[in-house]
Amino acid sequence: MWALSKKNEPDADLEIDRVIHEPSRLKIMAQLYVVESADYTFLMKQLGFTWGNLSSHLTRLEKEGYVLVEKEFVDKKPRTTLCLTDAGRKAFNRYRAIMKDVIEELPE
Amino acid sequence: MNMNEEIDLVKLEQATFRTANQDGLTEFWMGLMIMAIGMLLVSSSFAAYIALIIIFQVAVTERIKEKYTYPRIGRVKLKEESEIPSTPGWIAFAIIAIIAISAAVISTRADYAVVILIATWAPLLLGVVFLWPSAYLVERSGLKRYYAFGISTLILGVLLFLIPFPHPADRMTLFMLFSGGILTLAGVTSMLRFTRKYPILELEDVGVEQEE
Repeated sequence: MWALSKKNEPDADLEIDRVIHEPSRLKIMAQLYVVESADYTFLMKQLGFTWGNLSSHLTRLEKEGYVLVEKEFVDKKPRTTLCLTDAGRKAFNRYRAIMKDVIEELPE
Repeated sequence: MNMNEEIDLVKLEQATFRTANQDGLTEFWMGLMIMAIGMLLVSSSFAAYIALIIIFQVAVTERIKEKYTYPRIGRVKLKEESEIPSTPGWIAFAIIAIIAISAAVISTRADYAVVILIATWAPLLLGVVFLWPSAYLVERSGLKRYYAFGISTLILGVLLFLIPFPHPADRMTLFMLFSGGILTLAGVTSMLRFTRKYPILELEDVGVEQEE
């Protein structure tokens, strides 16, 4: 079984990452996975999120070390650039691999 | 997107590419470049124009994007996108430039029969070469309509190859002007549609947090 050990206990290596598993955060992770970097405006428009919604999920992902948030001022205007960290990319790849196994093991 | 949906990263990447390039600037610059190369066959003074495009294209594009694109759709850096143009599309232009310059140099020194041969076949060959950036754009964007450019330039190349011209070099000039013109026009149309479709986002539209 994908997420349980032989003793029928959760296997830490195969456990689904609940931070990524949340649908909105999964969308953010997937979007950032396919680009080098993006800003808040792009993510909001592309994913259809509100500023507050996006901000709260990004805070969680940043806290987890999956997303790097870089803030700077260019011509006196704020610019926030977001990108996945190496840990974020690894976690996302791992999540995809586990989910693939889960879906493949589902009965017809 | 949830556990029952497979995460299609290819489609997501294509959607991102479409969003990032819908301002039409890529087509606009490509079109200008092709037309300038075509005009090089008419007058060598256009070499300076080509040099100016190559030198200032990145900086000018960035300034235009700062003013028109980023305030509307935000900023994204696609994978494999560097500051210096190095995508297959630009490589194709380098090939075209080399072919055009070589043809121009050969035409001044080689035997007239060779010049006629080059000038006759060049539009057809370039029509085939243009299928490459066309296929690249289809792959990156997922939009089959980008094949239209490659197919139309191929048809144009075949037509110019078949139609007799008083001066053989006219074929090449016409080919470059037409294909470049199509791209430039497509770029301008996309640009106009883009600015109408997306209003400029003000700080209050995206949230007060941005003002921190």
